[in-house]
Amino acid sequence: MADYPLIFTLTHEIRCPKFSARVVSRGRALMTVEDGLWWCHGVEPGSLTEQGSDPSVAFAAFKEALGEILQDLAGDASSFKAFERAAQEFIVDVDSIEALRWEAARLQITSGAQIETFFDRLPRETREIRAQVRVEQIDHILAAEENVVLAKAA
Amino acid sequence: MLHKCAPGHTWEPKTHRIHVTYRGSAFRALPTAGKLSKGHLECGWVRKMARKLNIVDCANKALPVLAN
Repeated sequence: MADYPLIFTLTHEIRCPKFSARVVSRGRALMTVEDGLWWCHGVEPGSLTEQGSDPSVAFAAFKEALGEILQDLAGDASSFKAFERAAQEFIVDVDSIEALRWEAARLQITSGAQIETFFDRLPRETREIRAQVRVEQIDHILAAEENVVLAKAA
Repeated sequence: MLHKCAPGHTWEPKTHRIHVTYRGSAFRALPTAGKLSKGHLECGWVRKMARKLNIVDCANKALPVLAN
């Protein structure tokens, strides 16, 4: 296969002088090889792409870039509410051409195409997903997600 | 390429990325020079930006390497 359709949920903590926010983004990306590099092209967010020497590096770069763009958006926002709107707009913005490639790649997987080992290890998702973003002001630690506990003496 | 294919575009370096807009479309993912591992912009970013700014045909003519 040439194109691999990914669904992701990524969490970023954003801090700026006016507010601190946690952004949980659910979206789609297409991993593919171009010009000898792995590229992780955003479907939603459609305005994002990153590259790496292998898929894991490309995805790590994609996650880092998303955090950087959110940080840039926060820097421009006049308030938490303004940031929430800007983040929402950015994450759900679709690249319609990439979306067609993503659907075609998903159909290939369904039809039993040969999958490279790296991707074959990933869990499968058959449900339809919709890009969405949750933006909340940081006022608690996500203990379960981040495996944070309070230590006490035995 | 942008001057030819997206006249009147805006180019605004932010803290981490460059924000490019043209006719109501925006591309925010261009890395700043300090983030380019090879010192130059790979074609993947330019192709993606051209798609988001709806200037693919012009960009492919201006930079034929994009069409490969």
